[in-house]
Amino acid sequence: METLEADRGAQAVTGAALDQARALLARAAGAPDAALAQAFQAAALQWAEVARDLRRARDAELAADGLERDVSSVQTELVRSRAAVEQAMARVGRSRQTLTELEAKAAAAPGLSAQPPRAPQPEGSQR
Amino acid sequence: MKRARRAWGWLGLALTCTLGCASAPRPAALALAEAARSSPAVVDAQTWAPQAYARARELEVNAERALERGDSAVAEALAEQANAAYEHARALTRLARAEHRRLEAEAELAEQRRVLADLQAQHQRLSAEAAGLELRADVARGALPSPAADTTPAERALARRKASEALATQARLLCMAARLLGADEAAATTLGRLDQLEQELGANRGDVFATATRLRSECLGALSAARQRRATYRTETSPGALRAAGHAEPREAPPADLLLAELSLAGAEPSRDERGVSVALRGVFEVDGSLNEAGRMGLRQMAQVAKAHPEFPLLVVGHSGTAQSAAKLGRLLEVVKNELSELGVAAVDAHAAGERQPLLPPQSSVAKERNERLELIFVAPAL
Repeated sequence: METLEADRGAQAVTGAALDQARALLARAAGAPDAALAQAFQAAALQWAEVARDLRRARDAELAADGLERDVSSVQTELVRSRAAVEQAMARVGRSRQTLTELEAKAAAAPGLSAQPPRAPQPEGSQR
Repeated sequence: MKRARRAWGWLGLALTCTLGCASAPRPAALALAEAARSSPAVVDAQTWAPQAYARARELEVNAERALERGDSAVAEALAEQANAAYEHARALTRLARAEHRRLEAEAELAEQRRVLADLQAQHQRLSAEAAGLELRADVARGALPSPAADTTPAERALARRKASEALATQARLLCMAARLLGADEAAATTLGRLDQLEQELGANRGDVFATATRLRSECLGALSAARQRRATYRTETSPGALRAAGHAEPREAPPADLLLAELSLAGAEPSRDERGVSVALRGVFEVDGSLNEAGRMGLRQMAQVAKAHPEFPLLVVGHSGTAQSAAKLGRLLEVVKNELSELGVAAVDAHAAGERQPLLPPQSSVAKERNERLELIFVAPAL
């Protein structure tokens, strides 16, 4: 309980449960017999566990929120990347068409071989 | 009396029985536990935290039994435990939901990151492929005959001839500027060679582009040398020696920028180049070749500037808009020179450039109006 009370950030979540635990401990102290005192202590312990698990739930919710924000950022990046891929595909298409036209021109030009000299392959384009 | 005693006896027994058999008072905690059990959050707990729910339910049932036994104190303690247990079941439900959300988000994030990595790799591959294709296209383009080579030899020769004419005119104007600054000998030699070049151009004898380029360079050299000589003469000769030799003391030439500013203030729209500061006048002649009123006024204004700055000799250049007007240029320039002389300008030279230095290509609709102009160059003695 002391550990939970020391966590000021979680007080909004654990405060009510800890209050309940403290009240039951007080009732246990004033109980007329040991069996009753033990029962109230057990209830107090149960409330302390409630406080502990509420803090864990809060931490898990914060972690989930952070991950959902990350998901949202990655989704934005995905949209951008899809657009970039489409542009790259269009660029490849245009380049292919230009190359085909140029090769056709070269084939038609007198004194030129149909196959232009091979350009060095840029890194990463060999598949 | 006996009957009355018996009645009181029955009543007492009934009262004793009623009081003795009455159930213990129901603790508030038990009512709270019952309410907690039926709350939606605890109903959810049956799914999300079944063990915690079962434990709470067991405690509640035990509390009910204790109450039935008449042990209200134990019933209350157990009800308190049941309350806490229901709350615990609720907290565990919240935790389980949050964990579920976290795990789902983690899984989704991992999946999306994988898709993103695939897309980025695809983009990289495509970019590399596009770059490779573009490179091949560049090489293919380079292997094609250049567009310039598509022109016929005659067209190329004509273009080179036009360029040679323009260079020859530039050279002549530079040499004339040098002569106006006192470089008579060097300028005269190059001007003589320019005359020969003009003859060759007229006779259309071969490609003279290289010669025209060289002569332009020589004229520019002569102009620079003339400026240099003037600067050296001014710094090395004392005013006394000049006076003894019968020369007027040379004035410090005002920077060309100053003249440019002065002409700008007069609204003349001047420009600067290697020769000096020039002003263009348009529409200065009548149809008969005499100066019109606007022309006279413009020349008067320029003459005032020239007289105020005699260090800047004046070079007048006539540019025509058509071949017909080019033929009349010589006579028009004579009219201008005479007018300037009458206005008191001492150092004036003139040249008819014809159509060799157009501002706009002749195909343009306003080419004639823009190209036909009288250019007055204030030759800068120093730059």
